[in-house]
This record gives sequence, C-alpha cells and structure tokens, in this order.
Amino acid sequence: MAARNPHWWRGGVIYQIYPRSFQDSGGDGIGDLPGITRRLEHVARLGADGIWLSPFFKSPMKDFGYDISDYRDVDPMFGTLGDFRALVDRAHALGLKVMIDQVYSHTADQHPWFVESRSGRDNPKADWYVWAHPRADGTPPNNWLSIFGGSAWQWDTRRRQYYLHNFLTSQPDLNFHNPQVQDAVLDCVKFWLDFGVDGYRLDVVNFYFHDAQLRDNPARGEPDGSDPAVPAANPYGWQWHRFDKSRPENLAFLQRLRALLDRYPDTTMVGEIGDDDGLARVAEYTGGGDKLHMAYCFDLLGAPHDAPYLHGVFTRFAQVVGSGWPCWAITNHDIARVATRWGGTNPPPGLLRLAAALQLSLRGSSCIYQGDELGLPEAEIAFEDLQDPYGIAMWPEFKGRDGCRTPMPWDAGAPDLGFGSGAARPWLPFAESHRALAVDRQERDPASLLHHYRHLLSWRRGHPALIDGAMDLLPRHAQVLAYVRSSADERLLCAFNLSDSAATFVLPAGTAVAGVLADSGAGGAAVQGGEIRFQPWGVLFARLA
Amino acid sequence: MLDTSNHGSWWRGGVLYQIYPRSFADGNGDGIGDLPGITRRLGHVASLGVDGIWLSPFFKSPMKDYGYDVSDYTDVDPMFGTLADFEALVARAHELGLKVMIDQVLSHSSDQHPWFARSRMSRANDKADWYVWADAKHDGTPPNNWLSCFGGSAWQWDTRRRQYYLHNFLASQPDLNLHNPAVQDALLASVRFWLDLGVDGYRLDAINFCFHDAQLRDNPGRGMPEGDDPTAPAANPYSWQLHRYDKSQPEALDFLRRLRALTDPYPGTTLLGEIGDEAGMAMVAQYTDGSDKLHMAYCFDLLSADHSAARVRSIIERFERVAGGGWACWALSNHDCTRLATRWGGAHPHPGLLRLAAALQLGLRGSSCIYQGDELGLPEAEVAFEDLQDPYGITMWPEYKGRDGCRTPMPWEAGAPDLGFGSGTARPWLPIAEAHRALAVDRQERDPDSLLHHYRRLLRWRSTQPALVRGDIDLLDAHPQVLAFVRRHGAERVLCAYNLDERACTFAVAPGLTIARRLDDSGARGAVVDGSSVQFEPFGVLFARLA
Repeated sequence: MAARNPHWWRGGVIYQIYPRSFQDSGGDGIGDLPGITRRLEHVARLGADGIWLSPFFKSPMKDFGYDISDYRDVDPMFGTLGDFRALVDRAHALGLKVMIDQVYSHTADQHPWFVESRSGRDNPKADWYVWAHPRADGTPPNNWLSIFGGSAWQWDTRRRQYYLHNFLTSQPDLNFHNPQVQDAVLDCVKFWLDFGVDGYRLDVVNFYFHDAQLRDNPARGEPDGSDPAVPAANPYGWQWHRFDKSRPENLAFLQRLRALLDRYPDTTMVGEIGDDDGLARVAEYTGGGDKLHMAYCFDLLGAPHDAPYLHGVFTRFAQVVGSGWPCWAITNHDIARVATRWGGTNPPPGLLRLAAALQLSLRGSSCIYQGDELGLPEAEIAFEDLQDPYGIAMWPEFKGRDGCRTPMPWDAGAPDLGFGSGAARPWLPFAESHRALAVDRQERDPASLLHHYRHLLSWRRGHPALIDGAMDLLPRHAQVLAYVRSSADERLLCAFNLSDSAATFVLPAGTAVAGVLADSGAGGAAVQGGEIRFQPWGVLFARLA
Repeated sequence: MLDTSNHGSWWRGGVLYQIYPRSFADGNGDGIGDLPGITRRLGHVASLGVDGIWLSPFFKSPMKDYGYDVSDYTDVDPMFGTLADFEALVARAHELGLKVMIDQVLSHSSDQHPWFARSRMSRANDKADWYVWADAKHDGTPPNNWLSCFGGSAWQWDTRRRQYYLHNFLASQPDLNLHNPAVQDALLASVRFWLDLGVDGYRLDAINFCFHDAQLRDNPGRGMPEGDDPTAPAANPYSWQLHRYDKSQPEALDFLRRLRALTDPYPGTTLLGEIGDEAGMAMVAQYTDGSDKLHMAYCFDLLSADHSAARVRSIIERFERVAGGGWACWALSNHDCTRLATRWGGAHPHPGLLRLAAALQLGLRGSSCIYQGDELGLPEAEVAFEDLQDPYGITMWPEYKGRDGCRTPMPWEAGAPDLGFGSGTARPWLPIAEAHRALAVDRQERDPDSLLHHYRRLLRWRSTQPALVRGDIDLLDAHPQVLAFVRRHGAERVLCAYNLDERACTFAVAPGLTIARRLDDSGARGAVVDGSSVQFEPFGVLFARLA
C-alpha cells in the first residue's frame, strides 16, 4: 500500500463508517471524528484499502447529515476541521485512503442558498432549486413522489410555488440545469480535494437532474415486491422513474466532475444509484473512463440472494457493463443488515462467511459496512426510539434505517459496549444482541467472522485475478453460484452453495481444477472428479488448470 | 340576561363567551390552562353578562391540533383535569346562571383513537370502513385532487393497508366515514354521554366536513384566488379549489336531523355548528332552517379582514336573502382567526373601532360568540417562529403565521409576571404577550371607560331590548361609510347605525323614519342627531328608538 497506485480503487475494498455510531469520544451519546480516529486501527487491521465516511458536515440532521447546510465545514456535533485533519493524517499513516460522502442532489432547507432562493421569485438564487407553479386546482405540477412518502413537491407560501424534494421536505432539490449551481458544487468538491481527501462517495448521484419539462412519470402499478431498491409498501415503487431522475444531462456534469478530479492524482469517486435499472445506470455512469470511477446500485441490497437470482444479476450486468466498473455492497447504512436480511432471525454462521467470500471475489470494488465484519444482526428498535424519518413515515411495514445504525460494539464487557457514550444515552439504543459479537470477543476467537474477514482480505491481495481479473459465469444452478476470475497469471474458480442443504455442482466440460486454494479460509466444499460436493453454505476457491 | 319565559330558547339571540382552556387560567401551575382554572375565573364571564360559555375541547387527545384531535370522546385529558373537575365547572357555571356548551369534533378523530388504530390494521376488520380509505391511482398517487386545509394532499398513505386515508386537516386527524351508520351511532353515543352529564349544548367543529363525496370526484380548480378566501388564506393552495366534493355534501342534513332528535329530549340544549365553506352563509341557512337540524351556525364571513360598511352590509344582505327559518351566530373572532383588534384595526387599532365592533356584533340579528380576551381588545400576539406551536402556522409560515397569536394566555393581572395566568414560574405553553399587560382585566376593571366596561354595559342594555335579542332586521340603503339597519320586535323599532370609517361623516336617515330618542344607556357614542341627519365622529355608533 505504500507504493503509489493510481488504480488503488479498482478492486479495492472500502470500509464504510457511519460517524454517529462508530465511536463517541465526547461522551454525548453521538459518535464523532476523534472517536473514529482512535478506532482507525481496527479498519487498518481488517485490511481495507480505505474508508468511506458518511456525512459529517454542518447539518440540521433531519436526515442525519444527508441534509447539508454548509458543505465546507464540520458539524460541531462531530468535531472541527482540525479533528478531520487529524483523522486524515492518521488514516494516511495507516495506509488508508479517505473518501467523504457528498450530497449534491439536494441541500438542507437551512442552507443559505435555499434561504435566499425561497425569499422571492427574483433573487440571484431564485433558480438554484426546482420551483414550479401549481396546477389550476392548487395541486403540485406533476405526479412525482418523494421516496420518503407523499408528493415530491412542497408548497412555499412566500413564492406561492412548489419546490421539488425527492426525500424530506427539508431537503430541497438543487437545480443542476443551472450552470451556476454546477459551478458552486464543483467549488465544494475542489475545497475537499485541496484539503487532501482521496475521493468521494456521491449520494444519489442519478438524482442530480430532473426533466426540465416536468413530465409525469409513467405508472407501473403496485409492484410485486421484487425491486430491492424500494420497499413494496412505498407508493414510490408504483411509478417508472423516467422523468424525475437519471436524466441524460447528468452525463455531461459527471464529465465536468471527473475532469476536476483527474487533476488530483489517485483520487476516485463511487456513486450511489437508485434506479429502475440500476445495473445499466452503473455501466453508463462508469463507462468510458471520463465519468465516475465506480458506482453501486441496490441489486445485492435486497432480500433475494439465492443462486438463480444472483446469476441473473451478474448475467445482466455482464451484458451492459462495457468498460464500466461496479462497486458491490451487500449492506450499508440504508439497508437492513445482511445477517438478518439474508439470514433471518438466526443467521447460519456459514452464510455470513459465504457472503464475505462472495462479495470479495466479485469483479469490482467492494464496500463493507461497519459491523458487518462482526456479523451483526439488524437491531430491533421500538417505535418510540425510532429516529429515521423514513421509518417513522412508513412504519410498521418498513421500519426505516435505524436498525443498521446502532452504536458499534467494541467491548462486550462495557455497559456502553465501548461506544464511548459512558452514562449518556446513545442517540440510538445499543442492541444487546450485539454484545456477544463485540470486537474484543471476536479478537480472541480465531474462528470468528472478524478473523475470517481479515484472512480473506489479506489472501485476496495475493491474487490479481480477484482484484482486477475478468469474470465468467458458469451455468446457472438451483443452489450454486459459480464463476471464473482470470488474469494473465491465473484462473480462479469461485463457487458458493447459497443454500442450507448439501449440493453437487457439475463442472462444465473443459473446466479442470488444478488445486483447491485452502489458504483462503473457505471451506465446506470438495472436488471429486468433475464435481464439487458442497456442504450447506460451502465455498470453494480453486486454481483452474 | 333573558327573562325566564324564553328559557327553552335561551340560545336564540343569546351571547356565548368562548373559552380556550389551554390559555384561560392555569390551576396547577404547569404552564397550561385547565378546568379548575376556568372554574375559578367563571366570575369574570358571569360579570360580563353573557348567557353561556363555549369550551374548546378538553377531551383526551395527543394534542397534535391542541385538542381538535380527540382520542377519547368521553373523557377529560389529564392535562386539563378530570371528569369531576368538569362536573365542578358545570355546577359553578349553572350557579352563576351560565350555560355550558362543549366542543365536539365529529368530522375526524385523532389517529390515536382506538377506532383508527383498529381501522388501519387491515382492510378487513370490524372498523375497516370507519374511516375514508381508498386505493392509490395506478401511479401510486392519491385517489383525487383533494387538499388538506393545513397543507398538502388530503390523503395520507398507510403502509399496512397499502391504501390512502382521508384527512382534511393534519395527517394525524383521519376523517371519520359518516356514510357508515355504525360511525354515526358511535358518535351519537358520545354526544349522549355529555348530555346525560348535564351540558347545555354543543359547538360542532367543522360540521360541514362530516361527509365527503362517496365517488371521490375531483374538486374543480379555480386558480389562485384574488384575495383571501374566508376559509383559507390565498397563500394556501386549498383556496385554489371549489370544494364541491370534499365537504358540504347533502347527506349531512340527515345526520344533523339524527343529532337534533337526540338533543331535543334534553330541555334547553342547543347545537352550534362551525361551517367553513365558500358558500358559508347559504350553508348556515340550510343547516339551521326548519327546527330539525342545528339551532345555529357560524361561518367565516365576518372573520376576515375586510370590514367596510359595504362588505358588512353585503354579508347581512346575503344572509337575510337565504335565511328562511335559519338562525346565525355571529363571531368576529375566535381561536382560529387573527384577533379582531389587529385584523380590523391593524398595528394601532382605534379605540373607537373596538367599541364599534362590540356594538355592531351585538346589534346584529342572531346569536353571538365573544372570544376570550376580545372584551379586553387584545391585539394579536407576535409569536416568534421558534415559539410557534400551531402546525398550520409552522407549515404556512411566514405568509400565514397560524393561530398561535390569538391563543396566548389570558391577561388577568397587569402586575403579575405571568399576568395572573397561573403558570407562576413555569413557562406557559405559548409566551405571554407583553402587549397585553396594559390591557389586563384588573387594569380595565378600575377604568370605567375601558372596553371591558363597554362590553358589560352593552350586554346589560341589550338584554333589555327584545328588538335586539329577537327582532327582525331591515337593512337601510347603502352608504359609503355607514352601515345602518333597523331591528324591530312588535311595535318596537331600534335604529342601529355605525360609521365604519376613521373619518367623520354625515348620514341622512331614510325618509319615513323618525328618531324618537337616543338609547344612550347602550354606551354607544360618537353620533349627534340633528333632525333626520346624523353627524358621525370616526367610528361613531348610534342606537335610537324610532317613532
């Protein structure tokens, strides 16, 4: 890691930190930057290439930092710019890249830009947000819906117009059709590049532009629940989002963004894409080497994870990817934790070990969300303790995102799990179910999931085929997903039994195993002739002849 | 007050004093007014000379809309006291000769009401149809274009039923489905509960919202209105629609008949409806005509800012044209509107205007509601955005600042830090208005020329004038500044004339009318009679017996 590698991100592994919940150094019940700095060694020992920090910028915190009121300063809740400087220095000393989370689709309604914009219909920033007249019956200009519930349009009494918000009403949508807005955003990007960050995670990067004609989205009817990007109980899923997002104008802006980043060596961008066809959008936004470096969508962030489903996702992606580059996430701060989402109330340990091996052998980069290296289950949060406005609005069919945002368990013996809140009540309650999975407990157990992750990450570095190699899917199988990763030096078979029963996978003709790579830590599979015999959740890594 | 021969219809021409319990008097020092506080202060109301009180809701409620979201129709919220406290209040009021009317919110409940908790559980339970549920359109949007008075669509998505429910106000105020007879029965049972407890009547909140169009047809659009609609400010998109289908449906009349049939066996009880509709006057007439529905109703026509002679005349004219056997209750102010002093008088209301307003209201044909503090001429309180409590104001700020400015604590004692509200050192739920200190009750008690004494004198005098209490009304010809009408009862005719302008003027009494004598006991002033001509000072008022 010491040597400069402009392509560090390509096949790299990024550890996502949610600052409110990682480590509290101030004892106020909310995690902060000095707390993260103190715990960075945990991330470095894991073997990740870098961290992605969820937002720590000035914010009224209506959406917990994804509503920014000052792009260039640290919210006092999290610390100071000096604290962030110390964090970056410590990360770099540990060989970790630092990516920050930028939210450009919208601001907080407290941002001075919006305060000015809403003050009247003719001020210098009147057009910085998306304003529109009502219809003659006073209703919003079109049928667009907010992801967080209700119309995407909020009435403003001063302008007697509606403004667009794809999320909360307190998150007005910036108007990227206005070049001044683009320039202002790029200035913010440059501010942090000059500061020394290594890249950006770009929140809802396909929401930057809307259809300037404000055309209605086509109806799609009640969804069958198979779209992992949106809870089926949310009317947002009843539309094809043809006009409210993913507009073609965005590509030119992404090129402007890339041109800026390219002036700063070794920097990178990963975009978040929530779209009706996320895989195609990932390909579009990352192809050609002149837009984003990488992007992730929600196809692995739903409940389905059986072998045929995954085979379909990767088949589809291979068809569209071109020169694009994905970043795979099987969990993050927006989604129920993978242990529970894939494993249910009593997740089989083998499934969690498999999930790690699967994610880290896919073609693409990876994001690991804090606590998933511990196999944390989703925390149960009582309605009274809910903080997430999305969950409060959609409760009880969708309980929001608090269950994956509870404080990180460091120390099984400490009342506050070592989070650092001491006697203060943490902003979300501790999950007692996390106590036995705390870092210190897993440190002492060589068979723990934590050690499995460390081992996998370290082993993976020795195999260029896994970092940057091609990926060829083997035929679809009811229980087993199998593919071959290949580089100039090696061809590796990666095979996973995604079921809780034993399975047999017949290798296609011409695929001959030269040797099983037992040092990966994978287990539960054996090669017998032209077959692989799997135990439940068995994983095989093998060198092909 | 009225003679006993009129006992059964005390309400007809009667005067009600509206009490907003949160803000009248705090009996336990928690910063929020309560029933024992009201009981202690009832002497003030009785001394005014009104016939009864209307209590804004004190029922169990999560207080999202400050009690207009009821979660138990038959109990007192602990914040306000107990049922025993209410019984004590009623007993004290009756001892003082005051009727007690309570405020019932039948159009909607709180989302915390057990009925709604059950209704939202699934599409198939015994209360599934107790609220107004509808499927989404194919694109996931609400079933029609109806808007909430408090902002946004009138439809709220529910994830369990995967349906929308109707709410005309807050999303936490789901609309009851009165098309379902079981819902009507349940509401009538709660009405009976309080009748049996001894209340004298009901003020019925948003009574024309009880029914919606069962076909859920779109309201017609009408674009941005020219000025403020009496029922909603122009800054509110609600006023961009003609509310043909979301309220004021014909089925309401049958329900009102059921309600009346329930109250009639209880002697001396009465029903007062609140009607928010662009055709408010006609609906007041419709809902109160025929002695088989409401006894009286008020709408928002006199609750707007415009109070020119022409405007007030046209309101009366319009009502008299459609009135038939109907009976109006006039309110110049209440807990939903900017205080009268500020709404009509601006930042520095002319004292004469406030005296005129009292004389005008009490001279009209109909009953009257006086809102707490208007007998003191309180201006609207300035409430900082940070202190706002009213969700309507928070949503519509700053063009419309909501209803907190007329709901601040009542000023009883100018010398007390808390104005005698009773909160002591506790922070009251809305800040005390310093502008109210000099207008406190004790200060005005000591000044015989105060507005408080003016109200008392007027009310006492009025009760001796059957023409004003029960008489007919004949509007005189329009005048640019002066509103004038004749009230008559039998052979007795009283001329009521008001200069609604800050300039002096001359008013010629119509030929054929002869002033026999001025009725100066009324306390009216600012008018000099010279034969058939009246010289008005700014905001002058004349009451005179006609020959």
